[in-house]
Amino acid sequence: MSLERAPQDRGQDCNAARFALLQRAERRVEEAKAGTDGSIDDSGSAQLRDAYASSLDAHLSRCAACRRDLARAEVRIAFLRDLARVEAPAEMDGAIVAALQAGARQSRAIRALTALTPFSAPDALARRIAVSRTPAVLDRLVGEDLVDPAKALASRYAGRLERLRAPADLEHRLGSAGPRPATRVLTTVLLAAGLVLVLGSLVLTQVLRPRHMGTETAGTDSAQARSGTQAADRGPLLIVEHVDSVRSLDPVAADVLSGFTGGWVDAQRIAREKL
Amino acid sequence: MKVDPDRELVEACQATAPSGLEGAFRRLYDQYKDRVYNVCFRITGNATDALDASQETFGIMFRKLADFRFESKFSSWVYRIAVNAAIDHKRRAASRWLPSLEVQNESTRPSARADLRDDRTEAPLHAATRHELEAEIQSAISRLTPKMRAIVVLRFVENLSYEEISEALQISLGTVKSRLSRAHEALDRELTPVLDRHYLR
Repeated sequence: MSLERAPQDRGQDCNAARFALLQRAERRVEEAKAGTDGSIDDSGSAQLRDAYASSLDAHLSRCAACRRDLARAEVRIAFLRDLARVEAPAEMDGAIVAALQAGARQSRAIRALTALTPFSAPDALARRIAVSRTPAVLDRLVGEDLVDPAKALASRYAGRLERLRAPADLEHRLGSAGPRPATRVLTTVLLAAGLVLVLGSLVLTQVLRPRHMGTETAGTDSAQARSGTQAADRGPLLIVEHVDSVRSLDPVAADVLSGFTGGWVDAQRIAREKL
Repeated sequence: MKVDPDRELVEACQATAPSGLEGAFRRLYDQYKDRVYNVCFRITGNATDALDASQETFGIMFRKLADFRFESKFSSWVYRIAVNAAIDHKRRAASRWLPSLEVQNESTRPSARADLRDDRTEAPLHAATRHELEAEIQSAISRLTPKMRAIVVLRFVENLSYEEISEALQISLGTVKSRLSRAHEALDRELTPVLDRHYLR
């Protein structure tokens, strides 16, 4: 026998027969357990308790899927019925006794408490209440509570929160915080370049000026050359000399140039001399 | 209307002041403890939760017994309390799930005790197969919804009639039938491969 499941949507007849089929399966399992004849085509129709016995039989005779369902339901029900009966464990008695005693104690306590005669408030209390005046602040607080309980609660507790002081570390961090590294590097480079230009201009001015003045005075008035003040009065005299190579430069000018180029000119010169 | 078989005992309990597990209540407890535990075990699926749910059931019984008015069968009332306690316990346990420390050894596994009581000698292989199958059936029952689980347990484990189930769960007969039918469909889906494996080999 195959227990393979049949498709679920099989038609109206099958759906109508579904519960009768389960009842049939249950009955057959009961009969089998009781040792009576439980075969499907027994005399059964007359003894069947389900109202649709004959129509169910007719349906089963022409529907193989429902016959398979019936067989599967019988097996399933038989196994469910055969599930072992579980006995209550021995420790359950103790647990129940403890629970009931606790419950009984609680009930007794409740009964005893409810049986207590209620005290009535003494007259003196009423008199005291009548003469006592509540402080104004209590009135205000109760009023706030009544108007907006959430807001009152929040403001009351927020007011109690500790005021925090800024930590010293924050100040230290702010003091050491400058512009971002890239900006700082750029600024440094520009400043250095500007400084070099200024210094270079000054050096060139200082170096070239006396030499040109000296060249001018070589073939002229010696008195003027000695004092130099007249030449200065006439204004600076600039002579531009074209040189073909670095070697032809004046030594002072060559040193300045070497300083600007980071020693490259000297290196070239040394290399040539070695060759 | 049929006379409730437990009426005399229940009335004896109601006539005396509650004083723990003794006297008439003890007799009532002895009569119902296995049934209650069985229902709780099959619904919760494990011994620890079943014990807790049973304890809760008897606690409620003890407290409310004085108010019972025989408007339904006493057994139906007890089953209703047990089913509700077990489902409730299962729901609470699921919301704070922790792996069970309970070891499924021979002494806690129900079928093992059934074997010990069994006079017939059972081949070890057969017994192992039966244990495995029973565990799979219990697992399939545990995967049903609580309502379906309750109806399957009352019908097939406790062998109650549809009318008794209807009274115990306080639902109509039609609801019992439709719910049982749906439970069968669900079990069919779950158990067909299992039964194929065991039944046809």
